Formats: sequence, structure tokens, C-alpha cells
Amino acid sequence: MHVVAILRMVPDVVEDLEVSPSGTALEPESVRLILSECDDHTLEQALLLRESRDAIVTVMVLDSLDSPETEEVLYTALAKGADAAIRVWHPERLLTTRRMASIFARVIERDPTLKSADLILTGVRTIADLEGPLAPLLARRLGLPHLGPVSRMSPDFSGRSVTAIREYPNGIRGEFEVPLPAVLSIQAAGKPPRYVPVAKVRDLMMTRKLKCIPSPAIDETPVPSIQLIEMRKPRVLEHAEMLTGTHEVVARKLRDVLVARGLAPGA
Amino acid sequence: MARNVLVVVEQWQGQVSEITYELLALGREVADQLLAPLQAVLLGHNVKPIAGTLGTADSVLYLDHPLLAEPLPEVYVEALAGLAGVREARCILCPVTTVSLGMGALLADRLGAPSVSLCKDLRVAADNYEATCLLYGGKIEAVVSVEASPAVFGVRPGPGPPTGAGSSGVPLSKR
Repeated sequence: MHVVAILRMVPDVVEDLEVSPSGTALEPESVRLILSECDDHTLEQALLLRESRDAIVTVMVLDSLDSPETEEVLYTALAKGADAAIRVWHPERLLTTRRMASIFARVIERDPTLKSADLILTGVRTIADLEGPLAPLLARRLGLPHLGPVSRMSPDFSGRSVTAIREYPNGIRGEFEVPLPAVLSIQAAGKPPRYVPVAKVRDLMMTRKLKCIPSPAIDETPVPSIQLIEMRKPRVLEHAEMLTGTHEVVARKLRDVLVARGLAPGA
Repeated sequence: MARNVLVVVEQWQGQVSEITYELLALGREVADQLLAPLQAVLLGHNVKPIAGTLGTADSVLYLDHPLLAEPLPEVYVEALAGLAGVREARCILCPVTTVSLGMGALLADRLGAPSVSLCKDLRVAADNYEATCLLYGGKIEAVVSVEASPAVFGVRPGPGPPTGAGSSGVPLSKR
């Protein structure tokens, strides 16, 4: 079984993101890229299949920023157990999801090893999906079935299908049998993403070279584009009102709030 | 034929999701600004009674087929893209939830139309649509302008107060 895990980098929202003076981009100095949370689970799910079904795991990232964080994520994936890592270089910085799907599809179709993959996994979403999620668009371009959001999976021993758990509202889960090859949107892996020592990653960085390929040319009908006209921090419309004072004072203020909202009878 | 503002109804096992009513409320505002009719599009199997609960819409387009019983976005998109009313719509509002994952983006892709996801607000500005989207875990708002029609907007839960739930008397335009 061959599993391709498509990973994406996103700004770390623990950092205080700033908007650049142009008003239509993030200030580069405020952005530290990290692996998207769902893609961290995508990688873990791929590695679980490697352990349980001897799957070959290839991870792939589309990089247009030449960021050291991207390189580190690929080396980390190798250190965790991935068999191969591919960095697809694209010069255009702001890629739409549709264009990203077309590039990944072309890369997969052109490489006989990738084309024969049984499973293509990617995170169900990123925090930057302005045009929508990647997986359904990628599946459409590859002519493969797609299912998501998937929280657990187990392939049958013949390798012809995979049983995947799809999430529904109110904690309900549906079990689906998906014929392979297929594209799955990963919400969560069967286990939490594993840890790998930094020293192991550093060792690999000194001993192994990443496969880097240029993004293939895409010949597709242009779609009317969306124009980004402003990026801003959300306006705070309401603040929490802090009730301060002694217990008696706070209790009185709380009673007044409840009475004012009709939630408690007046005095 | 009037070019509608469309709202794709999200229902699962005969229950309409709360976001549908939020979309209808937002769709009503957009339709009023465009002086266009608001149409709800209901897909499913044996769920006709639901149409009567979509009261904010001027009409409901109902597609019934056993293949539509399960809300699989790929199947729904193929059904939607085959409808002239969808291809010629002014704009289409789709829910962004786990049930309707990727439906908006797929529909836009199928129609060759622009797609905006993670919308929390939508309004008409001159000849354009102006959508406000929440990015980066809600830390940044992006305001985007879309000129083309139809345009597909994926709306996340919570754009505004829902309306129309439970009212009846909506004309069922097609089955």
C-alpha cells in the first residue's frame, strides 16, 4: 500500500498576527509557519497505516515561500518514519485552493510512483482556506472518490478498500467502505500525533537531501477571481463586564443584571 | 426568468440544520439588496415536508432522489450543477459544516464560478459582492470582492440570527 500525505503550512496563531501596511497581507515579520493541525493528524494517520499495513508513506508540501519551517516539517516527517518527502516549489505566493489542487494533481499524475498511490490523505481544512477545502477539489481533478471528514480508518487486507469513519453532527459517526484509490480528508488520526526528538530531525537534515521539484505548468480555464480588498483584526463589538467588589456587592450587581434581562423577578 | 439568490438547504435525516435558517436570513438581506427572489434548494429523499419550514424563502426547489438521501457533497453538486436555475443564479449560499464539507468549493469548481469560503457576512456593494471571511482561527478578517455571477459563498455557522424556521406557505416550485 502506498499512501501520499499532502501537508500544508499555516501561520501560527499563537503569535500575534499583524496586517502589513498594504492592508491586504499579513506582515511577514509576524508570521511563523507551522504545520496545519489537521495535516499533523494526516501525517500521523499515514504513519499508523505504515505500521499496521506496511504502507509506504510519501509526504508532499507545496512551498512558495522557501521557508525553513517547511523544510523542518518535511525532515520531521522523515524522522517520524515517512519513507519519502517531496517539496514542490512554486514561485507564486498567494495560491488559490483550486490552483493548489491542480498543481498537486499534476504532480501526482506525472510521477508513476505517486500515480499508483492507494490513498491520498490531506487535512480536512486549514485556517487559511479562503476558497474552501483542498481534498474534494483534488479528488475531482484526479477522478477519485473522496470522503471526509474522516476520524479513523482501517484498510482491508486485500488493499482494495478502506473502512473510514466519517464525522456527523452531535457526535454521530458513519462507517463507510471506500474503494481504493481514494482521497480522504482527515479530521483526526487514530492516535494523537507522535513526538520525535529534535536531535533526530537535525541528524536527518545533515545526512539526507529532500527531493525538490518545480511546480508543473497548469493549463486550465481561468476562473473569475476573488479580490482581496482588506485584511484586518476583527472588531470587538462587546466586552465582558467584570463584576467587582465584595461578595454582597457582586451578588447585588448580578441580581440586577438578571432582572434587567428578565431572567429573575424584580425586587 | 428571474435570476435568484439561492440557499442550499442542509438537512440530515430529515432534520434541517440551524445554519440553513442563518443562511436564509443572510440570503434574504442579499436578495432584497439585489431586488431578486430568494430560493431555497432542498435535496434529499422523502423530505418534502421540510420545504414548508423554509418560510423566509420566496420559493423552494425540491430535488428528490434515493441517491440524495445521504448528504454527500460530490453527489449533491452533480445534482445542483445540472439545474439551469443554479447555473444562472445571481449567487449561491452554501453551509460550511462537517455535513456539507467542500460543497461550496466543489459547486463553484463545477460551475467555473468564483468561490469564497469561511464567510461570516455578505453584502452587495455597487456591482460586486463583498464578503467578510474569518481566517487564521478568527484572528484576521478578510474582506473580499467578487464581481462575477454566479458566485458561490460558503458561510460558516453564526453569520447572524436565523429566521424563518417553522413558518409555512412557501411555494414549492419544482420537484
